[in-house]
Amino acid sequence: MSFNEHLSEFNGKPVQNYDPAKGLEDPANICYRVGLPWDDDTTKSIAPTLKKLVADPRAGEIRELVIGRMGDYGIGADDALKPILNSRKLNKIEALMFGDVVREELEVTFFSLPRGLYTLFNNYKNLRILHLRGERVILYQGIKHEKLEKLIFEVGGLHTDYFGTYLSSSDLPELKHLELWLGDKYRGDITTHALRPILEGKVFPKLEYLGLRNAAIVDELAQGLIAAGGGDDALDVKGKTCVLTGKLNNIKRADAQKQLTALGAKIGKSVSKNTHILFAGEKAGSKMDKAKGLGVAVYTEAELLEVLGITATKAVSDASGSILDRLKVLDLSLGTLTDKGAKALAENPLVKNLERLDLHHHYMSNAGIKLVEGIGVPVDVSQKLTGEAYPWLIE
Amino acid sequence: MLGEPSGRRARGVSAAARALGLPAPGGLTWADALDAGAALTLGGALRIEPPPTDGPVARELIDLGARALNEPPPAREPPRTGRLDHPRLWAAGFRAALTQLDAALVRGGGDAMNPPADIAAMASKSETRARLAAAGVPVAPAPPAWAACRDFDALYAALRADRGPARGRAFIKLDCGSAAVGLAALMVRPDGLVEALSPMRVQGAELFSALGLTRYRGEQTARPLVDRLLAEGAVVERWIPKAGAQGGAWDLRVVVIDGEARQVVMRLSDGPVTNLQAGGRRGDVAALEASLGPALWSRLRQTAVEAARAAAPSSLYCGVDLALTVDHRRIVVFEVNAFGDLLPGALHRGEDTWTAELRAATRRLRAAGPKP
Repeated sequence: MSFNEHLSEFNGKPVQNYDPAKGLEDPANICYRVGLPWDDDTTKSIAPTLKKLVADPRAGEIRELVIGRMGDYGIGADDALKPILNSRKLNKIEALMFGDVVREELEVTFFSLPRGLYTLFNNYKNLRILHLRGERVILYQGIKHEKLEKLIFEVGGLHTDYFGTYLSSSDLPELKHLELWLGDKYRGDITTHALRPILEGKVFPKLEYLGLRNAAIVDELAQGLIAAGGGDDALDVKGKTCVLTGKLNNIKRADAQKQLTALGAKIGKSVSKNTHILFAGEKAGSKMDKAKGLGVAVYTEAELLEVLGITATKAVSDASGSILDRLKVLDLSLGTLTDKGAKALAENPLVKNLERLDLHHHYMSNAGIKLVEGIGVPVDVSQKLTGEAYPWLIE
Repeated sequence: MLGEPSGRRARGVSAAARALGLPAPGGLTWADALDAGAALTLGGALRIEPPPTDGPVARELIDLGARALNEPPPAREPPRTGRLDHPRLWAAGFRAALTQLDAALVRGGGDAMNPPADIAAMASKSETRARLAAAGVPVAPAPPAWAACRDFDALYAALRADRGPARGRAFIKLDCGSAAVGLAALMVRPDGLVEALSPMRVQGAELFSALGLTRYRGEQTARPLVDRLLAEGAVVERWIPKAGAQGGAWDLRVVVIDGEARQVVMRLSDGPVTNLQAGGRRGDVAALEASLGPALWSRLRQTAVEAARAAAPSSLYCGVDLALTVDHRRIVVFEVNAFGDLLPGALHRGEDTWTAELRAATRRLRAAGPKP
């Protein structure tokens, strides 16, 4: 598990700490790493070291780079990484890892990732591998990249609004490996619905590995992988009690309520156990907390607009597909998978087509394990846990 | 053998004696030893196993400790599983009992494999730290500003103000605790949120051992636990980031017998506490040795030997807990445990800990010749 060891190899090369005094001696055969040692309590930021690296006459030969601890508390990743985020000299880089920091050094939620990801995607046209580890990752539009093959978001939690919706509308024609660490409700609110375009195979035509790891909603994800056959693609509000909260940017709340009522929904004023759906706009407060506490499904403004037919619904008209049609590996490990998820996997005829299924760290009973072992695909069911269910990484 | 005759340790020792063709060890229970008190006389070779931390013997030790410290004995509570009763008094009682054993050995001309004075030193984390540091054996730093903290609020403030390496992260260890008992990992995040991870639970003024780790989030939740541990006497060390391998962070328990590093157990864990009772699991020692290489491996073993020599110079055996830092640059010794040999199945040159210890003891006795 990479969370416990620094990378020793990256992009097929051994990793070695960059020493500014020696310079880049052999960039063809060595992957350089820049990061503060755990016991360095005087250096504020790695930015000066990165500046030296970029200024090295051989910087243009670098094909990969690993970044460890970036600086003191309070030093943001964007500042620490400035010399490389904006450098045109490093544009041959194919592989980047940010946050090669292990749990024993710092909890993953203690250090940030750059918000300037789009700068990175724009400047690094040759990037094939991007591995990000840190507190959270924020997207505010889809990612567009011609060459990206492997994308890993190893974060404390993922969100629907600032991540899921945009990832699902990304254009990554070469993506083969996608690994998401979803977290639990305390660190991220991402829903199965937000990942639907991915689960239905609408995006990422070359995807072979899908990791939906460390997820508290893994049972739901397993169920969401079932090819729906065009039935229930759109969120159906008919007969459901819906509550709206937070600031809506694209529609007046009263209008939204009217239109929801027209679709057969009942509108509630406050969140209770009888609430089915909470539509949450920006800066949603106590209602959001309450909904999460009660396990009420929370959807975003974008999803609300979709339900009301204001924005195009992504999948209704298409015959529903499944990402399983092309996956070789499905990785649902490190989450809270129970027999519910096991049943969904076992009943899904497409799961048989996989080459490998990784479910380790789970809460299945022996019966559930038997179910998934009966699928006929090599499956990892190690680390059977009992008791209250938590994903592996709780922060 | 002084110890509980039906326990796993006694069974291990008896089996080892049988295998070596030695007579079965004579049994003396802690209850009998404490009853005899000043009248106890011990001849021959003595092996001391740990007294129980609960039940009537523990109660006797607590009362003995209260007497030794000139404090009134605490009220008797009905027993409850897992409760750690008055650890500070228990430890004082254990020290007093060891002093009695020492006198009994002098009276009877006996010889302990691990002398009571060494055991007393190893039973105190602060004493062990002092001995190791004095001998130049690397230990986790314990900032004086932390040692001065008597309660949660003081320690929280000290951790927030901390500017040292791996800042804001500490291990609180009950001075008299062994294994995972009385342990808590504490961290203060940059935004001030505090979190503790511990195999202990606290209810009112009582501490309980729990299986697995409990997460204490926020000041209100962490305060009672930290207050309790500090009140019972604890050392506060920097949380040194351990190296990882085989899917976890790891440390080693090395059993040092007669000056040689023997059985090694690799303890692996997802969290900061690797003790096997607290959710740690055993790793593959041979694979680890192969991945670290012979130079580093022998440095680890050598450090264990030096730690044993420094903390327990006259002892035949002990268990040393040590780790490599995450960057593989440093070795840190956490603990030297007089009773750290309960490792069934861990073999070195085909011998388990008990067999190796008895063989070494026999060798020593022969070398010393018959006592006059």
